[in-house]
Amino acid sequence: MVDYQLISVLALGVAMVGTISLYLKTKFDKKKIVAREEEIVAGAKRKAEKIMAEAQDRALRVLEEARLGAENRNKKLETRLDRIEEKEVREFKKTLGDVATSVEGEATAVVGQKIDEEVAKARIEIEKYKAQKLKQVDDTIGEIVKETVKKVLGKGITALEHKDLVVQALQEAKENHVL
Amino acid sequence: MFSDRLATLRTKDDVDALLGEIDAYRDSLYKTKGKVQIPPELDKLEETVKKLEVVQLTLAYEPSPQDIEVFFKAAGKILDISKDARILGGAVVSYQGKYSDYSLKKKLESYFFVSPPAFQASPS
Repeated sequence: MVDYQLISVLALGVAMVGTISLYLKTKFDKKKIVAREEEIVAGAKRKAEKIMAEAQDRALRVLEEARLGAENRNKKLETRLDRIEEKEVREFKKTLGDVATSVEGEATAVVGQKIDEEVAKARIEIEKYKAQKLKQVDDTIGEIVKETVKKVLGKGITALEHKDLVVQALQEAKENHVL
Repeated sequence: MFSDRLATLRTKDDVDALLGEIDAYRDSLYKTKGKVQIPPELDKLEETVKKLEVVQLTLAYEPSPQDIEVFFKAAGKILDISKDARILGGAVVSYQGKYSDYSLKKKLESYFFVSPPAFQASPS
């Protein structure tokens, strides 16, 4: 006779083993999935970290390049500014020199002209003074001479001598075509 | 009656006197005879007298009539004589805008002040 009980037990046992196996398998699979998930997440994390690191490096490089570029530009700018400054200073010095030369020239010309004018004025004054003094001397001497002539000759000239002098004057006038 | 006077004219005063006499005579003719015919010789004489050439003479002394006669002959013209003792001697002659100083004063001034050899500085 068939032992139904045994069969039932065996069937139950098989069922249980199957269930347990399925359970275990499921559990194993689940574990495997979790592990896979974890692996994927870890991979993604690593990738993300790598990307972040690369981005960070790139950002640092960009920043460094930017800094170097800025430094270069600053240096170039400083160099250009120095050149411009030097040029400006040279031009300023040149302009200053030109102006100084021009002013000096003008000043020299003005001073020279002023001196010439003063000398000319002084000469005129001297000439005037000279002429005035000579006139005074002339007048004085002329008066002395006239007075002397009047005293010595005026009274001494006779009417006859007067007449001869006048005749002589008229003859000279004729010779000179005054008459 | 005035024609013989023409030859005796020596000075400007003589000329003025003669012209005055001619005027007076002409006036007298009008007064005594009314409207009369003036002798043409009179007008002609007056015109001739007015045209006589006159030379201005400045002298240092008052010339005698004899001197004036001599000067008239020397000049050949009527003399307008004025006196200025300051010229000392000789004459200042002026005729038809021409002027020349032949006075003793001028000669002395020329001698002493124009080329005064006595006043030139001698080289030291």
